[in-house]
Amino acid sequence: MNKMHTLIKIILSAIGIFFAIRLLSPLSLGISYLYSKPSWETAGAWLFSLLFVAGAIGLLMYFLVYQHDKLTKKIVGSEQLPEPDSQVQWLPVALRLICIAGGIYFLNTVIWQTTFFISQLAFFKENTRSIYTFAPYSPRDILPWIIMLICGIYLLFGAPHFVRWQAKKTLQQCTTSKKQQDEDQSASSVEI
Amino acid sequence: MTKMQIIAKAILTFIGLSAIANLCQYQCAAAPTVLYGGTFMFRTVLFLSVFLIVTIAIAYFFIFKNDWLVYKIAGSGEKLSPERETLWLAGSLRMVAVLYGLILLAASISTILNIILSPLYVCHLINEILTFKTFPKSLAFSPSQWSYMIYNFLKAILAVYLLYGWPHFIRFQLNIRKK
Repeated sequence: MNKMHTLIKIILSAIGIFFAIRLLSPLSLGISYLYSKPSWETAGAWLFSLLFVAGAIGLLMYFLVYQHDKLTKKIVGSEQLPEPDSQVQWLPVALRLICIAGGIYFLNTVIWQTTFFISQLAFFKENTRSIYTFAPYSPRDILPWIIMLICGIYLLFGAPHFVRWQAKKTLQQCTTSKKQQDEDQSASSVEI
Repeated sequence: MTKMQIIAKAILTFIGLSAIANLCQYQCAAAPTVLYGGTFMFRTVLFLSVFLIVTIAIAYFFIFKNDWLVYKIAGSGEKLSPERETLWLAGSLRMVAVLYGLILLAASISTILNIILSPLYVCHLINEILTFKTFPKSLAFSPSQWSYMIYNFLKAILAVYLLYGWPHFIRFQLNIRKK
């Protein structure tokens, strides 16, 4: 195991813990709903949200904190890699990490919306005549949600095409910059 | 530049970007109150001008000319060779662009969908105007709604541009290094 593996493990654990804490906040919304309208429906919805969030936190902690060895190997590759200083290997690795963090952020937002949706459904059932005479979610509201879910899953898998494209573009930019620098140097030497 | 300086530069750029996005949101929330007139107008104009100065200062000192701050934060050390410096700088700035682009994209998916589906709305709108001979009331947005729509539109454009790799800014930074 080299420095890069250790670094990736630390970052993955940090990402897992950060998003696990962030996921707890929608539960406060459920509690406020329960206070504003104490009923079996809201209690059930809150319990369902609680289980949903607990499941998501459990999955996050399992994959990013306890089983991060497998994920690290998938991100970095083999154990016998040279240190990051000596090669360009760190670039796709770091980009992939960012994509995984972005994927968790996307899925986090989806989970937030799901818990909100569950709470709204409880209100919708009870107050069909007073507040929510319309469905709490229309297809136009659900479409961004589905896109976000798809993007989140793609990013969580490391967004291979996107990472490859970004790494290629970065290297291209560096090569162009170096060429330009060389041209400038040769032009200035000719002038001298 | 040393590795630590490049990392500090990337972090400062990220902080600058997020600060500007947040400040612009406040400005969009405050801007429509100018229309109320009276003391509201004076206060809002004052508030907006202060915020504008702060935004420009952040853009200048945290994003475009942050080298003096980077040297203060990271100190000195073993300098990288020009090739490695170029790679580290381009790579770290691109990572910042991708990270913040993804964060902005998560908040802009609805806006992007609305932009993509706008031809459908326009057809519907033209039909409505031709049928009823009046401008539909559903389009009579309040000033605050307009300001939020403009903010969301700009945010969506920024998200796409950052995910594209922020090429102009990275080229600008590399050119500064060369000079």
